[in-house]
Amino acid sequence: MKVENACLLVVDDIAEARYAKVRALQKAGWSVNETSGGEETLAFVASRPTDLVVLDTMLPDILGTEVCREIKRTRPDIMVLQTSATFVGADHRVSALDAGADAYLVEPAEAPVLVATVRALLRAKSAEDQLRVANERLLARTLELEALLCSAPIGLAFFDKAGRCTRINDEFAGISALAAKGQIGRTFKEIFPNSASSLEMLLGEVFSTGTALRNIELSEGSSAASRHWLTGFFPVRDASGDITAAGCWAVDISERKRAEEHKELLIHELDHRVKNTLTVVQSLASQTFRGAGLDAKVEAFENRLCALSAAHDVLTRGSWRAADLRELVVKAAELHGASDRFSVEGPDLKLKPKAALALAMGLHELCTNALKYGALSSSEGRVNVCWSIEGETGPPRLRLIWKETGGPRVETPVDRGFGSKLLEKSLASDLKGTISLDFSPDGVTCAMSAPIAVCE
Amino acid sequence: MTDAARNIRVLLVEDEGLVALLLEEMLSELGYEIAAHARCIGEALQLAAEADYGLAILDVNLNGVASFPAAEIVRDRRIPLIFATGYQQSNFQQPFQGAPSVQKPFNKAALGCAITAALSCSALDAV
Repeated sequence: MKVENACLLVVDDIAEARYAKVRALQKAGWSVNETSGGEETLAFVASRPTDLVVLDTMLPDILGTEVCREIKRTRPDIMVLQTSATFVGADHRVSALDAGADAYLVEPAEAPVLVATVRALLRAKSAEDQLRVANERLLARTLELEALLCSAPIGLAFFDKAGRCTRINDEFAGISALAAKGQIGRTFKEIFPNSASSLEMLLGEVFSTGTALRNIELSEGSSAASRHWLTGFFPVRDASGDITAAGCWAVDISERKRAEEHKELLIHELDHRVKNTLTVVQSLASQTFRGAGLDAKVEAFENRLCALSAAHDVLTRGSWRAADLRELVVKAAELHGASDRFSVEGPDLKLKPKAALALAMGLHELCTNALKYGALSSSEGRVNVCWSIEGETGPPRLRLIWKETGGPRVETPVDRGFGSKLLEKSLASDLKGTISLDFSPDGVTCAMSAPIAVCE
Repeated sequence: MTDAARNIRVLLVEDEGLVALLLEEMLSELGYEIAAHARCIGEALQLAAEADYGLAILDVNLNGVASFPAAEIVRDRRIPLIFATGYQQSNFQQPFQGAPSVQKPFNKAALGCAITAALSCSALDAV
């Protein structure tokens, strides 16, 4: 309600007196209704919008003080200005104010005094209205938050600076197999004796730095019975920005953790079995072909098998989601005992499993060739492997260059072996890219280009 | 026969016949002689304790049973050992996490390196 838009009601059984008050208030700009009896007044305020009643005391049916009492009982938001020309003594005024009247005016009152008094009362009412609306809004918000606290599938709790719990929901209390009721006022040391030190540190950090901490994993217990939570801590600030409390949320991720551990175990077990099978295959090849003048071939086969297996290791470390490109290159150099002859440059990049295996096999062929005929066959030669993402024109591509320097003069091979085939056909197709192998006299260069889709 | 290989007899603990065959072949090419071959944990425990050998090569997983108890007997006899396995070393049980090992599949050179490392390791222990 705005003061200037208020709806007024003037109650007086004497027409002249009523008219004078109505006139004065209308001239001041208000819309004014009028009644002359108690019953009529109560019926009016019950059915018509009314912000303030100018209420005469001496009415023919009910005493004005009683009318006031009734209005305040049913509509406490309506302001009552009690007036009287008859009851002017102190005790009358006291009993009228005690009956609920907001002010008392002895008549005859001069028009400006009446208007000023009404305006003052309306100001108070307006302030009260605003407060009530704000209160209602706050209450609604509180109820929403309370409902959220009760029904959210995550644990929520608030702690004051002394570490005492000011609010906690059942989900959070359930973490310690407690009921939320009865935890208010207890410190987190009492509620969570097992995680007290980490909680103390995290809450302390929130209070001292004012920054929220997200996605912190907390664990309790050991091995199979262990429990894990994903938690977050955040400051609660008052209107002036001071931190008054710290909140904490927690989600039980024990099941997910167990599933992840199980998956890791399965991956390692499978990896172990694959390695065993590869070794059996190696043995079969050895038993089948060795001694038939094929020893060198068997050895080349064994080395390829080892390269494949080494790439599996790199992938297993990445849970078979991706393999680190640098690790693949370093591993290939290591397998050929040539780590110190390699320089490796490029951004951190993860390759998808298929591309990683293909590239590892390709690198193995390049290493083998370099050891036999290329840069690694002399004591001076070196290999530089560098890669980058390029994409100024068109979609981004991974570009990798193997470059040998300082080795003996390179002769272009007359007859291309499996190594070249593997590089130019198989690797190119697995990477969905292009490979160019250049046997220039001062060193072999192999340039690969593949769409970025081969990367994780 | 290399100098290192002279007089060193190997206890082989491996449940997979073809893998054992491959190991025997590589060991013989490297100049080592097989002292005994255990195919399961029972044999491994017995031979580890009783056989006359100067180096043990153990598979980690013998038909689903870990070979670490046999490895402990080898270690207690202060005989050098190598694990030959498809498991990555991080999966080894204490106190064998840093033990010399060779990743399956392996070639003769890698096996030779692992043996040299194990023997020099134990030579250092003796000092």
